[in-house]
Amino acid sequence: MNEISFSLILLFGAIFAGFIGALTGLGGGIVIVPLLTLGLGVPMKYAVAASLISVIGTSSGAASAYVKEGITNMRIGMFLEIATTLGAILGAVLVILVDLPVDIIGIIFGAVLIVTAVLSAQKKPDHREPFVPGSYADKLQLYGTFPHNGKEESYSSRNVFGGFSIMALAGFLSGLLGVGGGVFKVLAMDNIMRLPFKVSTTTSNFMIGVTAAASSIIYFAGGYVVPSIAAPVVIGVILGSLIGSKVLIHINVQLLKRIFAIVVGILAVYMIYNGYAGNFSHRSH
Amino acid sequence: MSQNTKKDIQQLVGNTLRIGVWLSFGITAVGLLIFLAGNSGAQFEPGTLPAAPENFSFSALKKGLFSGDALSIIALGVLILLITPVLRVIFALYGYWLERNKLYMLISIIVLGIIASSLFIGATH
Repeated sequence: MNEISFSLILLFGAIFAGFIGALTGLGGGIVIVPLLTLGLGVPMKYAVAASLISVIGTSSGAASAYVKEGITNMRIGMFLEIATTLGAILGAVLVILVDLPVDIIGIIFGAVLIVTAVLSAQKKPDHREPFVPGSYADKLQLYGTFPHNGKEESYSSRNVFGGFSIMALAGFLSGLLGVGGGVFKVLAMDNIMRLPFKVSTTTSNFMIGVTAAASSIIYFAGGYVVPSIAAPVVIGVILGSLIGSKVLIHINVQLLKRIFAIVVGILAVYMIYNGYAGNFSHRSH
Repeated sequence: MSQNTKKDIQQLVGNTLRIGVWLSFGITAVGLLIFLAGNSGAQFEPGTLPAAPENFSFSALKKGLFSGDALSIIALGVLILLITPVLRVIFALYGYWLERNKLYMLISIIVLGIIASSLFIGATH
């Protein structure tokens, strides 16, 4: 393919990915990997590497666009980052060092997309857990206050080790597939640790960038970040997420999320089919 | 730690993210434009990328930057984006040091150590 056409197709794809990512809060990674592998014939490892870079772009871009550091719980985020970064490294090691067959990665990608579509369509619980002295939440300082309806509300967390385990899984999937894994992070904090919805969403966003940094450094050091692929992805995703966060205020998010769930479902079937047919290993040798 | 210092650190974190993202964006965009201008007729076959590429090398990047190589400029932009979240952890560590929160100074250092280890793991493939 001509170098300029390749850059332009990728640039517009990345703008779309960043735009959708910012609107739905799901990140652009789930669009970038299918586009690069099945759309443009980029080998899986290189696609995952480029996608992780885009995840850092959206996470940092969104976090700086609406920094709500008063809501983000830095301690909970930092503690759980031990789990996500370890998981992310394991995921990247499986791809690069263990050389997991790329068709299997494609199938896992499709399965994760289905789980993402189901989880993001569910209604989010909003908990306020009481502080229990002597609990792990107390010992590890996993509690806080946040502004809600004009007053400071306090909360604490439960099932610290359950949440920690799901976070390790979220990090693992991020490093393996090049996605942000935000849906799994929110699941761990909402449903298992029973944190308030606002706190879990903003804290998850804070964690996605750090998690993706841990695994993308492995891909970068290993030479899998190719400048001519990474550049259109970085530029497009940052632009797209900026546009997305600007129009977010004027748009029916519920409708959009439903449309996106359908798109994700179709993408999931497409990835699983191509993995099963061995198309990821045929295209890239 | 006073409420003011806490606000200052949060502002520092927010600004770092913003500056990091836009600096990376600008450098990457300049690199891509130079690259495309110099390779307008070139072909790119993604399928021919090697199964096991050569490791990234800092000295090669430095050399490329001094000679104005477009791909090295892009690599620098990407590197800045990669470092941005790491800086965020370092600033958090600084905040915990101001708070004298030893538990979270330790936890931040563990996270930084895990991230640092990925540099070495990546180069062993």
